[in-house]
Amino acid sequence: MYNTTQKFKDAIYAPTRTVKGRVTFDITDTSVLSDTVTTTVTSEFAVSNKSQLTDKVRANSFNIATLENDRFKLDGSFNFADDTLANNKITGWCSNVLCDSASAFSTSQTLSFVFGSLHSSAGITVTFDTTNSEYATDFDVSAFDGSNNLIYSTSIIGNTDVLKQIYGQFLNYKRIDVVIKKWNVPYRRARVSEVDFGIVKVYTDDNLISLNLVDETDLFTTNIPSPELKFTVDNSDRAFNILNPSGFYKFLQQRQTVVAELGVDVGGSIEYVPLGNYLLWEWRSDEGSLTATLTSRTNLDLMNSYSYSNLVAKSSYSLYQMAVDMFTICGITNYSIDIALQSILTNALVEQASCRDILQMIAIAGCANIFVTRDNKITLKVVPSITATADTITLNEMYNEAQVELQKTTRAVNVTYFTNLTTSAVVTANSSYATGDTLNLENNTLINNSTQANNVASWILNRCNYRAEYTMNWRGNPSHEMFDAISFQNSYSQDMNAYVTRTELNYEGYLSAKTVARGIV
Amino acid sequence: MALITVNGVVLPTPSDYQVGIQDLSKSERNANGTLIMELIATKRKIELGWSALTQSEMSQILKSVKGGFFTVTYFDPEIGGNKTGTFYAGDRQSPILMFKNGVPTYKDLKFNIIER
Repeated sequence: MYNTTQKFKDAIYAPTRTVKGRVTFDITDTSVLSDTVTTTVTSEFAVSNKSQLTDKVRANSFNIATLENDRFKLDGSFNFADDTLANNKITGWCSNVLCDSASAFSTSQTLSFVFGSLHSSAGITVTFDTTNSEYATDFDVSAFDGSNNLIYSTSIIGNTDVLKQIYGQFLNYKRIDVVIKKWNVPYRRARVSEVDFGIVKVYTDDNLISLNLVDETDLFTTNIPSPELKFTVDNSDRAFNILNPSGFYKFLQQRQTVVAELGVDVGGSIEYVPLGNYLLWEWRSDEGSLTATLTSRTNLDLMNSYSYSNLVAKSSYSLYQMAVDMFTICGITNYSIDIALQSILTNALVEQASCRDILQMIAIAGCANIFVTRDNKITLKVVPSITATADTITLNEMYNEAQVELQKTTRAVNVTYFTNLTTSAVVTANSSYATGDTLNLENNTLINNSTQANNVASWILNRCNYRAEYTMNWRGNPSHEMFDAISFQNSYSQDMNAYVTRTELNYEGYLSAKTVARGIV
Repeated sequence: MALITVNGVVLPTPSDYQVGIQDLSKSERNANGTLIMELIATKRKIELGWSALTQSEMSQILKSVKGGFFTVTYFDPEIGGNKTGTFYAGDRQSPILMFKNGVPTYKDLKFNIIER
């Protein structure tokens, strides 16, 4: 369960609540992200990190106190800088010089970005000081081609936005300069958190029509569904129409980043919970209406694009290491693997398969489940039996009492293990049921001995005990994650405990949800 | 202080001015039968009326609220001061009180404006 404050916990189940949605869509040429960029600046303060100007993080970790007017308050709103720059985490860039009494910089502060190859975008987005809501009022943005010839330039005068989009046809540029001339507060250093080489659109209730998240996992890891986020936005300006020459359509690309959040009013302010980072997958401008619908998915889908095979047995090689290798092949760095997989060895023999399929084999061989957390971490976890629950859903939160469906009993589980790709044997684990289904696990070549095969068979049998599938239509709580153990009320007996295995969140100015959970009868 | 300003233009002071406060919500009863409310937003609906208007006043009012959305600064009873929002107008009708020497005088112009 995503960690939230007590205020959030109270507000999300209050009899009257206000939920807000927010989607940040980064319409950047995805080739920029993989290109090298050299950043130079006119000046840089000691507590500054210009390399973070292009790290896709638009909020600083701390509000660091500096000797500027009203920036050294001892009211708990500021932090002292650490001598070690890295300990200040995300600082963004900060100029070494201050502007004057008229907020003008005697020497304009220039941020210059030089790329390895040419790029095009629908504009540039500059994010200034989000922590203190300060910004440059006057600044220029210029684009240069591969021969350093100016190809586009625009001057912004009287800006009032912390996150400022500069629209324009930035075509085939190799260098971008942002020249800051004037700040909104006198005697201030210039601060920039991020420069995006594309348009970063933040959709809130003013232009976000709806948002739908389907998050799912599988109790047996027989498949590893990827969460899917679909959102519909106001397209009355026709920005997403295919024939609009000044629109975004030609700049939309698969794998552009989408960050979604749902928040609840906690007494005048909104506390947001991330729904994850997604990659744009499909888009369409809705026929006959003034909206556009965009569909995005997670890195898990990306793993389908990479394949792997290994026909030579490895020694002293754990399932943990193999999972790390799969993520490395796919270029995924945000993952979590249960350390229990470090003690399970495999000869790692696999025929050609996608990295996603191999990750599934690793999880099953390690008796683990796969899901994506709210902070976008692909997680392999050996899920323990339910001992304590993370949350309770009472009848007050449900529109109807949960529907219960009992799955069939399982009599036995057969697991095939492989000493090499052509030599296999089968172990069987029997349940206490005299009748029922027999489950067969046949093609997982990462299970290499009878002990591990027995462990897997016992694990599957244990999972089969979670026969009760509860389906609830209720108000919803975005902080719930897959495999959270929740307790829910019913009108017959004591509260039932179950794992969350599917959540569908629907937001249309208000939140509703459908949750599926599996528990022991 | 003007009672109502549209796109920066002060309108003649209306003779009828009622600010309605509307809570947009999705309400449903839970499994215990108790009403729970998802509050989406609170919007204003302002009923406006002018008992008598000259041609120039009528034109000014009608032109100011045509063409979709417009910015309104209005006296809001909840805060006891001016508030600004984006509105659109409902249907307008322009009854003529008299038409003398080619000059019309209008009566009872009434319409409402609704917050976007």
